[in-house]
Order: sequence, then C-alpha cells, then structure tokens
Amino acid sequence: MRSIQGQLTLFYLVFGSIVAALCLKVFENYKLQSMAHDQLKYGYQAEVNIKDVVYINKRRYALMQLKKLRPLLTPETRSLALSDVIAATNEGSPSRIQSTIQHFQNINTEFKRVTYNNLQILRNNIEYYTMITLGLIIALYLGTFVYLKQKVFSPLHSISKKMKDFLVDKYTYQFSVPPDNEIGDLQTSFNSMAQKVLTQVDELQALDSAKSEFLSIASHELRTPMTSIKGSLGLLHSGVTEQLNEASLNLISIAETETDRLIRLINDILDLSKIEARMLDFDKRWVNVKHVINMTLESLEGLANTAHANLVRVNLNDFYALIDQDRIQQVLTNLISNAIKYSPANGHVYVGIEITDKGHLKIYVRDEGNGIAPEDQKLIFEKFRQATGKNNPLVKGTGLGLAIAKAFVEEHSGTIGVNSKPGHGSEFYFTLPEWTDKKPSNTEDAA
Amino acid sequence: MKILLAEDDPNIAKIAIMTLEKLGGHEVIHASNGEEALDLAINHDVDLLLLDEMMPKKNGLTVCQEYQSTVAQPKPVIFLSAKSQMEDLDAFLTYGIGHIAKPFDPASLVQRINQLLENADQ
Repeated sequence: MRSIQGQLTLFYLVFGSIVAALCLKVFENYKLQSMAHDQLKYGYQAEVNIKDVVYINKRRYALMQLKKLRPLLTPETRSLALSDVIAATNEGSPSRIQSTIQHFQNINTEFKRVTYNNLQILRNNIEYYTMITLGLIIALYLGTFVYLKQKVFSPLHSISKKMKDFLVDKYTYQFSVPPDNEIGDLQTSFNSMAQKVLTQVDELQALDSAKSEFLSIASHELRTPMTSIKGSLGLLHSGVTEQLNEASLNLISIAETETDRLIRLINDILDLSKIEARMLDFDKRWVNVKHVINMTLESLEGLANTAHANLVRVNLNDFYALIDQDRIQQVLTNLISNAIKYSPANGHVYVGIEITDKGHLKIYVRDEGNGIAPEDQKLIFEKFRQATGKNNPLVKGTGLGLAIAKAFVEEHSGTIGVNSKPGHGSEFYFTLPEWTDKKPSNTEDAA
Repeated sequence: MKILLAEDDPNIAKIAIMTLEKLGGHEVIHASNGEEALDLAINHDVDLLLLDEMMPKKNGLTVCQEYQSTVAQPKPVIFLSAKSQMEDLDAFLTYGIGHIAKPFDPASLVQRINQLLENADQ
C-alpha cells in the first residue's frame, strides 16, 4: 500500500492494536490486584471470625459469617480448611476445633505470603505496561508528525511554491519524479496542467507574433502608397503644376486632411503592433515631470485656441520620475488633445499632479465635457474603441490613442484610468510609481 | 544645389524630383537602386545625397558607408525612410546628418533638408 492514507491506516491499525493489547494487559493486572486484595480481606475476616468460634456466646454469629465466606475463598485448600473448621465446630470437640483452626491459620499465612509476593509482581507489571503504553503513544504522535511533515507538509509547501513561481513566469513547474501517492497525483496533475497552459501560451504567442508581424508588414506596405498620395496632393496644393481655383483647392484640402488621418492610423497600428511584439525599447531617465507637461501644453496651445478651450496648470511643482520622456509626452499629448476635443466652447482643461494613497505620482487631465457613460469607461482603453454615445459628437481619431497610452504607462509599471460622470466632465489620469521630489543627481534636463 | 535622389518606388521618385526641382529649385539626378546610387554618387559631383533606406541590390545605409569610405571628401547624406525603430534612427544619425520620415509633405521636405543642412553646418 503506497498511498499516504493507506500507510497511515496500516500504521494506526498496527500501533493501535499493540496499544490496545497493552491497555488490556494493564487492566488485567489491575483486576488481579483487586482480586488478591479481596482474598486477603476475606482471609482476614475468616481469621477474626474463627477466633470467635471458641466462645459459645459468639459461635452462632461467627459460624454464620464463616459459612458466607467459605464459597468466596480461593484457592480450594483455604476453602476446604475453613470447611473443616466449620465441621469441627458443629461436632463440638475442642481439640479438633483447635487443630482445624491451626491448620486454617497455617494455610492462610502461607497464602498471604504468596499473595504479597504476587501483588508486588502485579504492581511491577502495571508500572511496566503503563510506561510502554505511554511511550508508544508518544512515539505514535512523533512518528505521525514526522511522517506527515515528510510526506505531506513539505511536498505541499514545495507544490505551492512551484505554483507561485509558475504565476510569476518562471515556468519551472516540472516535478521530476512524482511519488506514488496522493501528493504524487497532485504533482502529476499539476505537471499536465502546466504543460497544457504552456502549450496554449506558446500557441497564443505564436499567433500573437504572426499577427504583429502581419501588422508591421502591412503598415510598412501601406506607407509607400501613402507617400505618393500625400506628395501628389501637396504638389497640387502648392500650385507648381498650375494655379487651381478655390473649389479644387478645397477638394484637395479635404483629401490631404483625410490622408493625414489615414497616415496617423497606420502609424498608431505600427506603434501598437511593436508594443505587442515587445519590439519597442524604452529609454528611461530621471526627468522633471513638470517640464514634460509644460512642453506638451505649449505644443497643444494652437489646438486649444482653435477649439476655444483654456488650458489650466494646477499644482505643477518639481517632481522627478524615471520615464521615457518621448513616450510619456505622447501619453500626455493624447490625454490633453482628447480633453480639448471633447471640451465645450470656452471650457477649461486642468492639468495637474497629485500623489495617490499608494504613494504613486498621479498626473491628471480634467475636462468639462459631457463625461463618459460607466459602461464605456473600460472599453475606451481597448483598440478601436471610442465613446460615441448620443451626447458625444463623433470626434475624428484613430481609436488607438488610449490603447497606446495604456501600453506606454504599463511599461512604466503605472496604471491609466478615467473617473467620469455623464454630464460632469471626465478626469483621465496615469500614475508613475518611480518618482521623487528631490532632484536626482542624474536628472536629464527636459529639452 | 545638386542632389542625388536614390528611391526605388517610381511614383515617390517622380514626386520627390518634382518637389526638389519645382519647390526647392534644386538640380536632381535619380537612381532607382542601391548600386546605381553608389555609382552616381562617386562619379558625379553632387552637394547632397538623399537615400531611401529600403532599396533593391543595396540598402541606403550600405550605400552611405561604401560612399563615405570611397570618396575623399564625402557630401552630407540624408535618409528617407518609413522605418521608425530607435536603432534605425540612431544609425541614420551616425552615418548621415539626419532622416526624413515617409510619408513626407512636399513643402516640409524642402524645409527639412535646409534645416538639416543648417544644423550640420553648426
């Protein structure tokens, strides 16, 4: 029997039987001890009553007591000796009475000597068997503990460690030789589960990289014709071929705007496919976040003026964070330009820095737009999603900006999110866990 | 200014030539692959090389390296590329004076060339 349950059952059955047998032995000795004490007591009572037999006035009562004791006495020699005393008394011959009494006393004295010896042996036996029983019980406890620790707790501990390792990407899941018991079953199941997960992860990764490669090639192939289209339109617009009338120029402007939009979309797809294929390098340095925000805001002044939105700086102190400046600026540009696009005329866009409960640096962009419905708040960070509820005018974008921003922020171990109530504006924010308010010595001056 | 344009896509080449001649007022000689570009660059006295990165026979970076190791006083090189990987951009700056991303806007192509040449002079 190899199973832990089986081994433990067998172990307890064998040990249990031995302990039970020993307990029985102790009990038996106690019983013998108590019987010996009873016999000593009966012998004593018999001797007391025998002495009374010689007195006529006490004889009747004494005989009655002796008759009661006679069947209780062992061994038979004592019982017979007492019968002789009773018979002699009934006959009434004093000399015979005396000799039977003497005979009984001799036998009883011998019995007491032997019994005291036996009692000593019984006491020793009781002590001996009790000690062995206690010892066995203690051994049973210790043995069980050691066995469980070796066969159950230690393996369980290593299994849970391997499971945790598996979760943090170590993939050192394999248990080389699972033992032939319940723990081994668990390890074997874990092995096959891990194998299945890894196979599926591999398949997904292969699928993912095929997809990323396709996107990358497709985007590159798309850029070549876009170059020709954009170039042709630009040359027509510049009037190098011939001066065009206003209607033609208008049409060309529309074509140029839409071409630019298509190019942005292609660029965003290429960016995202690179992020997903982990082909993008991040160049993280200590940078003053305030300067990055200011640079972004300056570059978006034009857009804000066109949209009649006011950009407001809130609590912009010196905070230094370990970031890839270009990517974080791309995130900020995305959030702020979105806020401008969704702002009402003469609305405000607040950009500021806070510190979260977790102690992370939080950069937020708040607008006074229509807000975002709760069901849309998660979706907008997914690819090709835009909140286009009836309150929101369809704003032209690629639908990839927030997905890219999310990927960039997550590369910095931060989180990106939105707080919004329809009708009360939105707050978009992202957090950066690695920051300080004291200027690190190796700070790059934002340029 | 006499510019060597190496570009394999005939449509982009046509547009770039028109842009450089009509908008920039430059003289342009055109190569449609890497070997032709290297040959023209060595045998003609040009003021600037505009090299597409992905070309048949030899890519832009190779043309640039071979040109610079052959000619005694090489002229500035600007790369035209749809690539935007960090390491590519680093290489463009190491061997040339800069890079113009595709797709480009004709008006800004001329401006960007002037800007890169000015930066290189400083």
